[in-house]
Amino acid sequence: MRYAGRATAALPGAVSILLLGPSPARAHAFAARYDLPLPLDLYLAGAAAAVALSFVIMALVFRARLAPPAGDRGIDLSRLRPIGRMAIAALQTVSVALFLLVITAGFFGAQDPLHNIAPAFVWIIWWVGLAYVAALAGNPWPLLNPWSILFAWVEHLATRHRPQARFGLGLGYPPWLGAWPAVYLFGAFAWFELIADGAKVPATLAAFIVAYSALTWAGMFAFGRQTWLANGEAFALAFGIFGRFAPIGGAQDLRLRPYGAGLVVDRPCHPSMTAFVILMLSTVTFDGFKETSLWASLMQWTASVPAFHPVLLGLHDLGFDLIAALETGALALFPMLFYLVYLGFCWLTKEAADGTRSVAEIAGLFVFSLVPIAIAYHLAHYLSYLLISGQLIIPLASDPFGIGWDLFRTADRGIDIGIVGAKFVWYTAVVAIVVGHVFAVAVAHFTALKAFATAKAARASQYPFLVLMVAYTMVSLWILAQPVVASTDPTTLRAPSGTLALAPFEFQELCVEMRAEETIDYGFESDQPVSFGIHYHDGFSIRFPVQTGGVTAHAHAFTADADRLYCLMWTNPNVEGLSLTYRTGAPSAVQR
Amino acid sequence: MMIASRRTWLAGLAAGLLTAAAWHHPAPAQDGGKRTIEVLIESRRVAADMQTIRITEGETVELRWISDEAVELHLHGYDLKAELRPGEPMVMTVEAYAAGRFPITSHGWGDGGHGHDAMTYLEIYPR
Repeated sequence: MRYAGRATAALPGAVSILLLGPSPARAHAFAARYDLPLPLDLYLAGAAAAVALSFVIMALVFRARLAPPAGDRGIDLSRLRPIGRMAIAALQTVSVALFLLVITAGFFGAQDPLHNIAPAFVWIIWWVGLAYVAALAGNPWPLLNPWSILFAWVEHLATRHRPQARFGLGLGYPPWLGAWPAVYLFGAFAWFELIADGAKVPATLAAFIVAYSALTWAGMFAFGRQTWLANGEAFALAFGIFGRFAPIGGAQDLRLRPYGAGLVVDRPCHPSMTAFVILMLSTVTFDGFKETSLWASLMQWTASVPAFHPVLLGLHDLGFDLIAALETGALALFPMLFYLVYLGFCWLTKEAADGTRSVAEIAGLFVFSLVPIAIAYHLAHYLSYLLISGQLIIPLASDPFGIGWDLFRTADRGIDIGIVGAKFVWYTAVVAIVVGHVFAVAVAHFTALKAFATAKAARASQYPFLVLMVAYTMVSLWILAQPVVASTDPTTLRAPSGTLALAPFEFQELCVEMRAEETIDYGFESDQPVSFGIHYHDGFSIRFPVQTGGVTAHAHAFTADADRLYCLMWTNPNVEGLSLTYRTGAPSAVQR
Repeated sequence: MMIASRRTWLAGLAAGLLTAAAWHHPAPAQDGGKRTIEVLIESRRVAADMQTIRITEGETVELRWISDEAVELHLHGYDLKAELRPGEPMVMTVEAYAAGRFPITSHGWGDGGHGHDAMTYLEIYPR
């Protein structure tokens, strides 16, 4: 809608379908990232280190027959009683107060995203920041979860004078349902975070929180608080998965344990849990991938395929934002692709090992071993975002509603974009990715030692996983080495003749305003087969008076049948880049 | 202990690789000089070789804009703005104290048209 408006303003008569390109506003849930791409040599060094260390770990774990880090060797922190009941109650009160503040500010505060505490708190402090804490220290969400706290308070009040009474419907939770509610809720959340325009609009964000709260409390009321927290509260699961990596944590009590130990499991998790982990990992990757120029090219290519036009134009007619529609499709496909690839490697693992474990069992056993790679990527991707955009919270704390308050005398505080050096960010990113990879490989190895009867089978099982993990790590590094792209414009081409370099699936066009009966001479030579066409926009449809595919040279004259803007468009259908030279004459009246 | 020494060794290997990479990384030398980069905006876009402008941290750079149409430019991050009138050069002085990749967006084209796309990026590399 915004795009249609922009396109119409920029090119009268040309409808937006070919003018796809994420805008800075859309590139992230909220606030901007100013990250420099990772330099090539750091990228390569990181990749080399990941591969080399994979084999080192493989040799070490099996040759030295290291015992898997056992939970019971940890230190029981609860015996130290570091935080008393009073401290916990105080923390929970603060958490609930912040929860209410965000909703109130969202609905009643200023609606400029940068002058309202709701978007900054939710997207930077809570979602990115808390994930850091959960992964690196310990998962604080069970303690701070405002939905759980508020429900428990009401539960306590309702049953205070009737010890026998039960609060809620007490329905039995169907075992087959597993964590599927959380999977779908997380999917909806990811869409809201990564694609929906409303994520940064305070009132929309608050409405989303209220809707999610209602659902969560309904789930708790129906099945019981703990049951819903374990199966339906998407963030309890998400922070819980990050928290499995952390050194503080445990199934029942607080324990100190080695990093990653919580990810080593000895029995397969429920298929819904596997799906949840895969969904989480893939959306983390998708977030970075959709800021790359390869992604922008893929989107443009999708928009340029004539077979998709009826669907896209139909969506456009219905008032949908085409970029959002394409991204929604991709967000739905991405986790499925991840899941299929993962299952493929699980099958290879089954074949490589002794065959005592089914593909489903292997999938449920090893899915957690991928988590360190995702955590590392999350740390690397968001480090400067957290440190730079996170500063927004300082002025916002003084003026949470954007109405001119100055509670802590920090309302005028600006953002220091120089707080963290680019080199520091680069090195931290590469070290995080390599260390995350090492942990992933180690977790998978320890899991294999528990899952298979013989060390030989365990060892054999790990070759396919090693390949999967190296590939996943490479994808993470590759994304970090890409410049953040917030805009691609296929109509950059202007000169009447010149040279074009087209990346795989990229297209570029040259648009010419022509009058009826005018003729234009054009020609091109390409070093690879290229698809070429001349099109114009007629309302919401695109017509192609000229369309050829797989040509390397072409020269012709084209006569306009009406006064309008005609676009010559070259699309690279190959998986490698191509270069072509083109020339066009000025439109001229036909000589008769 | 065996395990500890191996762990140390692993950490050492990783650190070694990364140090090697860091050592190898060519740092473009700049000594705080002042230079001018001229950027032409024609038909609402900059030339292909100006879609990313690369400078070095510590430099002071004058971005000299000339547009064939009235437009307001905004360098994000540094939060600098410039209002251009058709054909009149306008200088935006950037003291590159922080590295990063900063979009320069356009607002309020001559006819009131609104471009949300980044017109170009200013990439400031660390020294």
